[in-house]
Amino acid sequence: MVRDFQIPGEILVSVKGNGALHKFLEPNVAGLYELGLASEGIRITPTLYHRDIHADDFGPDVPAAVMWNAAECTITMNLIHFDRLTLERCIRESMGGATDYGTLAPTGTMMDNGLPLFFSGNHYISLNLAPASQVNPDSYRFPCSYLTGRPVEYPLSTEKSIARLIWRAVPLHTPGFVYEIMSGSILAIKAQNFPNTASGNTEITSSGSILWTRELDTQDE
Amino acid sequence: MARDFFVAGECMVTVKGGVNTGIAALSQLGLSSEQVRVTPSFKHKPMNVDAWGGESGPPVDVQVMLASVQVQIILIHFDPAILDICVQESMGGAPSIGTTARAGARLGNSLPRFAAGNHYIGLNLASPVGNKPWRFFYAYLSEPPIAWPLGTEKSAVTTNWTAIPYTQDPWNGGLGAYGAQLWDYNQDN
Repeated sequence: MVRDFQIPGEILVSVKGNGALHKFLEPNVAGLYELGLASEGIRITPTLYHRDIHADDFGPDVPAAVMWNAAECTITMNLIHFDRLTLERCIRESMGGATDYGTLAPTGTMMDNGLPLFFSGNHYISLNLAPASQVNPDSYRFPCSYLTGRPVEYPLSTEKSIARLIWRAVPLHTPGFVYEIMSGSILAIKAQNFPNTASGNTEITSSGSILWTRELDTQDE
Repeated sequence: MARDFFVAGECMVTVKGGVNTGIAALSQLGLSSEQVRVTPSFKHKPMNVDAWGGESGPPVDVQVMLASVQVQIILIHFDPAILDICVQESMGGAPSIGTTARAGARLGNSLPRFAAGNHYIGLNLASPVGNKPWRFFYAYLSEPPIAWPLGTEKSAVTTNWTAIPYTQDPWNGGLGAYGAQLWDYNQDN
C-alpha cells in the first residue's frame, strides 16, 4: 500500500442490537437499522492500557517490564440527519434495557447478562460505520458498544438539532456463563452452554476478543 | 462545435413552484433590464502538508466541496403577483406577502421537487437565440432578495437568487452528492 491522503468518504452510521431496537418491538428479531449521518468527521479514539511492573533495580520511575492490559475505544459523532426513534432505542439499551425512553433499568443490571450478542437480554449495540464504497472500502464495526457518560447532548430550538453522541466500545467475548447477582454485586459466575454459541466457550477470556472489525453487520432474515 | 460569438437572446424568466402555490404551473416572472448574471460558486478545500509550507503554503491538492449558483436578475417588465409568490416561498412558505414563516422553517422539508411543502423554486432562463436555456432546480431569493425602487420612474427591481443542490437524502444510497442536480440546459414545463 502506498502513502497517500486518506479520505474515508461519506459515513453512514448503522446499529444492530437485540430485538429491542426493532421498530415493531419483536424481541427476538435483531435487525440492522440506519442511525444517521454526521455533520462532521466521526472520531474514533482507541485507548490502550498498559501496566508498569517495577523492580527496585530499575528505580521507582522506570518500569522493568510493561504488561498489556487490554483496550477500549471511544467513538464520538454529531448526528444531524438521523432516525430519532432508533436513537431513543439505543439510549434505552445503553441504560440497561430500560422499558421506556427516560426510565431506568434496575441499578446493577449487566449489559450482557451472560448472553451472546443480539440475544434478547444482551443490551450491547453493534455500531457500524459504513463508508460510501466508491471512495474507500474500509469500514468499522464495534460489536460491543453503548452510549456512555453524557451520551447525548440534544439541543432543542428552531434550528436543526445535532445529537452529540459518545459511544464506548469494549472487547467482545462470547459468553457461556450467567451471573448470579444480589444487591448490585456479582455473587457467582456459572458456566452454561448455549446451543447457538459456535465455540461453546465457557470462560471469560480476553484472548482474541474483538474490539473492532472491518466486517459490517448484515440484516437478519 | 465551432468557435463563435454566443448570443443568448431575449431572456424570459419563468418560475415553477409547489403544487399548492400560485406558481404550480410554469409562470412568467418577467424580463430583465440588462443581462441576467449567472455566477456559480465552487467550494474547494485545500489539503495542506507541512512539507509544502503547511497552512501558509499552497495546498498539495484540493477537495471539491460542491457548489452553489448566484443569479442576479433586474426585473423591469414583470408580474408583481408572481414575484410576491416567489418572495413568500423563499421565506419558507409565508402565509401571505409581508408575513413570515416559523423561525427555522426548512425550504425542502425532505420532500420531492414541487411537492406541497417543498418551497424551492424552479428558476428558468430562456435563450431563444443561443438555444442554451438554464434551469436551476432548487432556487430561492437570497440576501438581499429584492431591491425595489419606488418613484415616478419605472421600477427596476433587483432580485438575487441562490440555487443549491438540494436532496431529500444526503446519503443517496451510498453515492452522497454524486449526481446531485444544480442546473441543466432545459426548461421546466
